[in-house]
Amino acid sequence: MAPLEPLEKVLVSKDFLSTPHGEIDCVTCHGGDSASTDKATAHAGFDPLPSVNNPKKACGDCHEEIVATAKDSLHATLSTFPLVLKSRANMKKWGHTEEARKNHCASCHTGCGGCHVSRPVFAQKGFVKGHLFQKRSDPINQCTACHGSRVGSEFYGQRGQGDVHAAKTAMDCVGCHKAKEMHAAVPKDLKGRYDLKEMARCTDCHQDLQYGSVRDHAIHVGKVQCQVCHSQTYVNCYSCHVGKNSEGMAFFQNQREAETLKIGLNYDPKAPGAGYRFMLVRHVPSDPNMFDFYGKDGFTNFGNVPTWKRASPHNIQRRTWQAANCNHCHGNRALFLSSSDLLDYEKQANQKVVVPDSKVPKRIAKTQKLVIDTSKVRTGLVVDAQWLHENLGKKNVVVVDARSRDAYDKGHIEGAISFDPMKSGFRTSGDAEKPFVLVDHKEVAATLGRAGLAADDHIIVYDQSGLTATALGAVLEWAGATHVSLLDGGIEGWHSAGFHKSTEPSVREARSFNGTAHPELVVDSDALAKLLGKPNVVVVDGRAIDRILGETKHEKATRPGRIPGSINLPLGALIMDNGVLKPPAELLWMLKTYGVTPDKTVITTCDTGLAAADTFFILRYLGFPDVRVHDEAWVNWSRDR
Amino acid sequence: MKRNSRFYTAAFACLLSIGMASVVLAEEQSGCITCHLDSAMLSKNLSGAKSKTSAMQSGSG
Repeated sequence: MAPLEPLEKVLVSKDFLSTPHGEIDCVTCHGGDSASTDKATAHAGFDPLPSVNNPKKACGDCHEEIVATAKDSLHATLSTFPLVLKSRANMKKWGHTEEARKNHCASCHTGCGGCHVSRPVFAQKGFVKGHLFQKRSDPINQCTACHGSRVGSEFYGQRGQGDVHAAKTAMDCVGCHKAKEMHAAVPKDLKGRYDLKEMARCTDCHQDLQYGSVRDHAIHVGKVQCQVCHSQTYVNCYSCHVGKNSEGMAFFQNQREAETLKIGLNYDPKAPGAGYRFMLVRHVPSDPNMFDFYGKDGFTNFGNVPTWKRASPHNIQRRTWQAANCNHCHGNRALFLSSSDLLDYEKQANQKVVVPDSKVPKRIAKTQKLVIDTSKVRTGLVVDAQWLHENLGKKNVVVVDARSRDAYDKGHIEGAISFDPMKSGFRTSGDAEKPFVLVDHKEVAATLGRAGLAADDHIIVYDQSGLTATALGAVLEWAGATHVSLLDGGIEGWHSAGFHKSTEPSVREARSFNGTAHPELVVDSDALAKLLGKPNVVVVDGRAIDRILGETKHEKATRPGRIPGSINLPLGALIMDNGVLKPPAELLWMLKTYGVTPDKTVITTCDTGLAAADTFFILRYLGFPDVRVHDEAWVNWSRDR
Repeated sequence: MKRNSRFYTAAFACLLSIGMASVVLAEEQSGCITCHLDSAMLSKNLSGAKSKTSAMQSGSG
């Protein structure tokens, strides 16, 4: 979600004046002095958030019944936070903990306005549509403006494939989380949000599945949470720490994020609709020292509440890898939370959640075999940290750090050169007549040569997320490099494998790149238009689902939309957090569910060509013989067609 | 000549009524609306507005 300009935040639309809310004098809700034309005096006594600060007065006169409960809703009160904090707290130091809660945790709450007229406070406020009120919350500007890193990214496919409810039926958040739930008053001492009886559940729509035609539903419904079979990997956060920066502004920071999927034992089967034995668990960012900024030893009872908590990832798919075959789950110890997954400080907290070996479902002797041909995978296109460590310094092995120069200077793989493809001049600028397209091959080859790269080097690329390194890998292949590899897991993978980072910069002597261009790997929009509809051609759009739905657009595109007939496969489905790749068999299986198979000509596209280049590289790695990049991408397509 | 005079009278009345309506609208509009509908005035008043989030803030949930 792009931030709003200060003007956009407060500019009222003329249309607002002819709405019922527009007929109410501004000061009735906001206070201030409407007769004054001076900014300071006009805003004396002004309340920018009347629905937060006084919902009864601001909204209750007209919406009495709703406000009566909504003022005590989870969104308005975050009332479960104090209960959880108290369960863990050293009550002698509760003052520090409460101060931290108010300054940091409580900054996420919102009133009526944050869901019906403006972005919530946590998302930096600002009118969504010029102060026009809307009954249905805006999923981008409101719901995922706060529930963004996890829920929004999962739902729209910035992480993973996205959610089938968004991709197939264009459902928004309110499609499941209806007013009844959002406006529900929280009972006193509610343990957690899953204990709210009005909470949305899968079974609100998907009823009586155990009696349907799907065999696995008959076997598993009631024993495992729906998400165990229907979610993809999701992000887990570790070690939140709060503080205030040099300007006194409060912040919280997570020290680490990791994408996994873990099944735990249900530690709270009395929650409504949660009588199952197994459920997905997500690591929450709680940490015994997270409030140390306000005072030490605040959580002497940290072990009282799990840190691997029930999860409902918003990345539901009908078909998932763990459910593709019985033995992807049964007998797969790694999928179930074990004590070895726990950090020292959380062993006690998760005793009820860990699945002991004896409780991992046994492997099933006879299952239908899943046949996936991985024989064409070009394994050399991806190397791991161990391989790189063993081959560092060998002749022709060149390591390229594709992160920003700042990130490189803070620590990189020893001997790696810094080469940020985003600043390399490989592509035209966003303001060019034809933005974001590859420049002439000679220019690219000259730039690579100046960086000390030659086409016959073995070039290893890495970064933080995998996204720029993979795109660089694609450009190198187009430019004629004969042996390019991506470091799986990037710099995080290198570091977590136990290898050190260097701050000593490396530079290579300039040389001639000497690569033979491969123009056949790139198609322009005219060529793509001629290929559309051909039976053996598939266009893969690597953008997130909100782009496909037209809810958002790239700032340089003239309109939202998609190329006709393209298949949306968000890039997050192919590459996980920190640039980690899933096993080739899993990726090939997933691609097949989209109809993307190696026997087809695959053309990759996106907004600007970057995700298209990433997808190209990964498909080439998986052994697809005919992959091409539509580097003009949607930004240019939208302008020309 | 008579027709012209009628035409000018009608046109004058029309302009007068538009002018009156504008005055009435301006009187009805509060100072809040006058400013918050005017992007130029708002831009001027908002120059120098700063972000209120620390650069150290992690993403939301």
